[in-house]
Amino acid sequence: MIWRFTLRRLAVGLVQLSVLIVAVFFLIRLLPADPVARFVGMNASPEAYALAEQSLGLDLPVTRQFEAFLFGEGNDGGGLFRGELGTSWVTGSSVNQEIRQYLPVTLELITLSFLIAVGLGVPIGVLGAVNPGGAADKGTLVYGLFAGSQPEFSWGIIFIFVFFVVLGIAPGPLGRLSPLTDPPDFVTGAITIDALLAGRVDIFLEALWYLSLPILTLSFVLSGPIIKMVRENVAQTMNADFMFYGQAAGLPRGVLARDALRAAFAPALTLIGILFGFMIGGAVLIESIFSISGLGQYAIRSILAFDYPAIQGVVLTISALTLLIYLAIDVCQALLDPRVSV
Amino acid sequence: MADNKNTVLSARGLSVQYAAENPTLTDINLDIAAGEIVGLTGSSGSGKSTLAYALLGLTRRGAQVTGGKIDFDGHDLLALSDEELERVRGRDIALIVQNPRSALHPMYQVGRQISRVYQAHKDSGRTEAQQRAIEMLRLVGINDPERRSDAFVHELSGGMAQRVLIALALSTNPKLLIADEPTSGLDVTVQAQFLDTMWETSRETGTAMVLVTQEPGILANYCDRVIELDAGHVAKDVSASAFISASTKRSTQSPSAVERERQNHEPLLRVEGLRKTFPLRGTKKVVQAVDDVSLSLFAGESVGLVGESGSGKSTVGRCLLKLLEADAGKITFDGQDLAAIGGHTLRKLRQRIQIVQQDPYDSFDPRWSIEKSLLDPLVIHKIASPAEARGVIEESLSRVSVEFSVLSRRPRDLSAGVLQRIAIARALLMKPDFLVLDEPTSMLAPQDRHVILDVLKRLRTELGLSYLLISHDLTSVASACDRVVVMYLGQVVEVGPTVDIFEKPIHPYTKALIGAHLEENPETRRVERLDRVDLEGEIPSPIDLPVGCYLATRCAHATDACHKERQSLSPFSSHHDVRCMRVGQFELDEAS
Amino acid sequence: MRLTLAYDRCVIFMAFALAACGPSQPNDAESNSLIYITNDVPAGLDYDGAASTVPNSQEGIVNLMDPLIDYAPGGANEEGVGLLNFTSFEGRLAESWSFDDATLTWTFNLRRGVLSCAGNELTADDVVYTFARAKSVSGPAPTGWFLASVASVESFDATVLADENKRSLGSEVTKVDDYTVQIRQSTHNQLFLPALTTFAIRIFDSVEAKKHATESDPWSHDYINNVTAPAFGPYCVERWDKGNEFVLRANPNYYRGAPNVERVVFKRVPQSSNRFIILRMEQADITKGLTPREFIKLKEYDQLQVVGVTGNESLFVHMNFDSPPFDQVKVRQAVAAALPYSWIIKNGYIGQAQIWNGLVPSSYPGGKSTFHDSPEGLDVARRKLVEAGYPDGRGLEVYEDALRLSYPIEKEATLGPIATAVRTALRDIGMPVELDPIPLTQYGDRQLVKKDLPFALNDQEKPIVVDAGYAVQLFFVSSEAGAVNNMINYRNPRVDDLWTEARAERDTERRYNLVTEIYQHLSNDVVWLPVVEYRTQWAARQGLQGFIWYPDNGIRFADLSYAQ
Repeated sequence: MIWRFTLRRLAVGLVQLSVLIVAVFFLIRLLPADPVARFVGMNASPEAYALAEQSLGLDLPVTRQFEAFLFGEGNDGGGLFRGELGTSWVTGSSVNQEIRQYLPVTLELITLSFLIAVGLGVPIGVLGAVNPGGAADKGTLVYGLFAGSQPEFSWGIIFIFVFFVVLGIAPGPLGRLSPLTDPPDFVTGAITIDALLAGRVDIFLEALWYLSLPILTLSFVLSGPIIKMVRENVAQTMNADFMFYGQAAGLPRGVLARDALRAAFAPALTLIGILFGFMIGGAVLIESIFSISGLGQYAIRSILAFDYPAIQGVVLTISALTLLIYLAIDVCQALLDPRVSV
Repeated sequence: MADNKNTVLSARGLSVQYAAENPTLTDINLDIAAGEIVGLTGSSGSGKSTLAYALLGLTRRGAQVTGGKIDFDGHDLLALSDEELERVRGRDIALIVQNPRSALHPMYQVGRQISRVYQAHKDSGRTEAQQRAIEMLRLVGINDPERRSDAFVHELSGGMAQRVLIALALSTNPKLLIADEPTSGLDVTVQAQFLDTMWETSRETGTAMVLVTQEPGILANYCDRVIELDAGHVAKDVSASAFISASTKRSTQSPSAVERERQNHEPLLRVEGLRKTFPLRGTKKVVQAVDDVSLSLFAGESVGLVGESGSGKSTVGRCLLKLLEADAGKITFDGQDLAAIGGHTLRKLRQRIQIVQQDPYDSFDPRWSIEKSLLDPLVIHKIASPAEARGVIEESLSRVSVEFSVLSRRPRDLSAGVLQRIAIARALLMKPDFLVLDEPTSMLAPQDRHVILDVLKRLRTELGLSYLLISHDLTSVASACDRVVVMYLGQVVEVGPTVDIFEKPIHPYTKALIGAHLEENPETRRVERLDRVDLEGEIPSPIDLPVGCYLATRCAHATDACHKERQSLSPFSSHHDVRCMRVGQFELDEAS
Repeated sequence: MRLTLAYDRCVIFMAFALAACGPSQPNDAESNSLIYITNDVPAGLDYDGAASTVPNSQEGIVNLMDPLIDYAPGGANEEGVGLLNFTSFEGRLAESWSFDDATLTWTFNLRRGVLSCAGNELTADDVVYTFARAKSVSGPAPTGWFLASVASVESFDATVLADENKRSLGSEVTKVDDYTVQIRQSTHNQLFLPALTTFAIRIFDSVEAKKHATESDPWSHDYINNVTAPAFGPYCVERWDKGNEFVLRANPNYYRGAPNVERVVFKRVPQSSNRFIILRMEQADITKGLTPREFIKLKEYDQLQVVGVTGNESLFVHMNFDSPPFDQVKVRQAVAAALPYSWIIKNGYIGQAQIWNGLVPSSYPGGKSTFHDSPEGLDVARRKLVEAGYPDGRGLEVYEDALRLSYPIEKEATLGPIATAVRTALRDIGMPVELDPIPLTQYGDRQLVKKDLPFALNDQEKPIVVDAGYAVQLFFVSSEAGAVNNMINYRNPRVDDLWTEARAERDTERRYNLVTEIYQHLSNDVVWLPVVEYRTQWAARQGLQGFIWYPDNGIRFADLSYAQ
């Protein structure tokens, strides 16, 4: 049953992605700026312009361009159907390669942040629901009013100032590792994992240390909605009939707490999944402040430079990832909650 | 008061209060003896549920026990710590609540929910607890308990879920079982089965029971003692028979034996071969709601249409008013084929048939005053001029014994009983020939039901009003109808005069139904009757109906032929039809 | 519930423990590495490639590749930053050279024993390869060809771009022997030697480059854009993490001696405020591209130094002759008179700029340009407007669209306030000016390609060849006469004629005078409105020395060393 559901959703997802890629492809070519202009800064003669335009493939009619995008040009392979996203007009590197380089950076950052945000947020939310008016509850109220309502970049800058400049106990916003340290060999692209795979615990620790401020900033901001959602759901669940009945049946407190959490978790899970999907592009401000070269930065660079292949690649990647995440959420829901029929 | 030596629970001075409101319970004293079944009753708001929970030391959110003590097993429950209370609850005192499907955790299998309670209290291993769970499920009459124990709550029917609750409650052999309106919402036969199981188990295990209910039938048939609450105080604490006799004489007149003279020989309403199915979304299957129903209703006659959930009686009612399009069949009203007419004629005809629905609050626009609601149809159908309107309305209201002061009120300010009578009054404004009442009393408290039925009977006498009373409440039908049509799974299984049906039911289903009907007579308790005809098993799904008799799988008299051949409704005696080919042969079965 | 509290405490404790035992700050003095933080690291290393127009990429190229010749040292400024003598050349990969007037042929004698990072020796084949590659125009932005055409290398003209068949190298560049190569010009052109010093005709290690050629990519563009530029420069690429880090390691065989700084790490830190604090906390060694205020603040720290020059970074106002009312010189002169120059210097550049008295960087040889030598001020501006026929700006309302002052929106922080000051001043004299910041790519497109940008601030023109005449050829002759970046649509036949003459003029002094005359016309017509020349600065740790300013504004790390 689950497999059929998954397959069906993947098929629908493919259709969605196809529509999306067609839309993006044609829409960005409607934008008013001409990407060729970037190449003719030195020499803007008509001949130079024509040559640049040709090298970008923009001299062909749009439908021919789309064909080239899908099937590649000539016999050198390439094309979307062969899994190639094209060549970036800014760097001349293959977009596949660039995404493969930048995406794990962002995923590493947000995954670690989410682990902490969820790991701390869920217990605090549960505490707040179980002891209303208690320390956890009051603390989160203050947090929500004061901290959670501010944008993450202001917190990032504050943390850098406090911990790096004033206290000197945190590293500077120099990315994921010290500039003097050689990163481990590229396996997954996530420095923490690659360092462990290479057996370099020192690099692993250093990466964690350099990532500590950006992760602190992100989880600080993310935990706000998570705590609130968990708290609301658990509080609501605790009023449910089956909780009352469980109490009447004399079930121990621990069992009841697990019951409540299990029933309350579904909406929180949905929220976490949606936040995660959003963060793939939404972590761009943190990436910029902490000099981390992630997918968000790549997307901004591509958009500002009107680098069509890169833009297309980023849109496709983020959409595909988001669809997969939503599918994963739904499957988890179905596994957790027997009432959800798939 | 019960025998002190055997007292299981003893409450003294128990008071419970919700914050900032008047106390819900004040100074309650009661004793429960071992093996006793005590009925706890009172009008809504009298504090029955609160008392039931308080006996466990539980209160709903916002309420607090403000005083008293509860002696149980040598301890004062109210003085125990939370941990100690945890040990008592579920092990020595168990609870069954009104709505079983919300009482069980939606995400755990029911077997597991039973076994973990057992494990928590009996310090047993996993396997032993699982075995116990299956054993309990079997005990409460669930077929195939191994498989059922892996089911989730939403996969079970209401009746089955309720049985799971009993299994859970009784798994630890508690000394006291508290059941809070455990059968509301259950069909008559299911209710009977359920209460029978509880009663038998109690007798077997010696468990005492507190049964919270408003139904006098339950009190009469199952309880040894009755405690009545009124506004938080104990108003009565007597034996069940004393309680029943002492309560105000209900209008349990025996069904009218008068056979009305048929005014003319043409029925006012004739239904022939009505059929209605509902397609299931996403599949090609259909739900068989109404299957070849034919009935006739003569002017001045009142017919009761009874059956349990899934019988199709409501669907028939809707088709009669053309609120639903039947798949097949002919409906003739006053000689006119309802399918053949349309537009203006149909509208005029519609005025002569009116409907009163189940939920009075749903039948009125909550924003309108009663006056406006009543004025509206008068104006639209131009029945009365604005000058006459008030008079007409007042006359209608007086017919249903409602005071005129309601005219300026809104629906939410009125009680369900009053509002339902106003609904009848509104129907009467149209001066209908024929009234369809679809479960008019199911949302009312028992005492209010009688008022409605009295109104109906009066209208029948005074106005010659004909009506079709669709109901699962046999008391109402027995009281207010001349004839009864019994439906099961979309088919009419028996039709006949009320007296015959109630005193001499023929069809096995009718027998079971009437047998399950709890009369308010402690002399003839169901549990003491020996000639009960019980149905086994569960009602089949209306999607996959068997070929032969629909009751064959549950009937004690079923033969091979019953399973294979489609049954038809055939006359048994004058004005009495039965759908069963083995009529008259049942005695032979019993003999052999 | 107790369990969750304990769990929370565990996590917090672990976090602090981690922080406490974190590794120490980067300490580079021991490892002889230099950390250079910039707004971006090189995106490509191919001067014919997409990234060639980006200064950050050019900076990568010049540290990996050496030219045939370069400018001779020309002393230092008051801050100790070395300057170049733009009238004198010295050899790099070429040891000596000569010019034959009759055949217009240059002969270069290459230095021997020059080894590349890959270990190959420089030969004439490499020079031939370089020019052949340039002529193939196989990259999207063929800068190599462009500079060669500017230098009038024979047959490197516009037909190469237009006609596929004209793209193979002929006899204009010939190998005489392993260490001698000849290059022929089509006409006399004094821009030849200056063109050779730029980043764009540096010599490739052809042996290494050819190893990475493929059938569809015979000139190794992919390799050069993604791995390294194989050449004969002082550094080799150790690691390149595009968009993040670029690490150079010294070439031990560099013919001028192995560089003092063994390793240079370029790290991308996009926010200038972050670059500021990282340097302040001494976690990096050099940076550039801070705001003027940040530079001033850094000067306060003893352990840091801020040095700079007035090089070729300048700000001017661009007014399009094809967009009325800017077709009228008097209107242009009114604008010139009205701008609040002192305010801009004081508040826009915090004093780190000077008024630009010419149309070409003051350090450039080849011709003299003057501006701002007539009276200015709001009264003068108002008078000019009256003379133009728009007393108090009346009548200018119809030109609302043209009077929208554009600038790249990415530079909002620096150019925003300046644009606002300009707007205020012009509104003061009655011109209904509005601001119109637009994205950089669109800005570039309208300015260079469509040439329909009416009114804008421009601070990104730095003529790559250090010669006043080159600027004329680039910007000010008419497009018909060959200007490739005449964004203001200026057409003056007299200027065209003067330049045609000057271009081929052999005599240096006469050329100078011709170019000077051209600039007089240009100033009279206010082709550009020069505002300021502002300082090019670097902030670095105290003790780092050897800075020399180059016209591409890139640091040559081989110049640097630590004072002992």
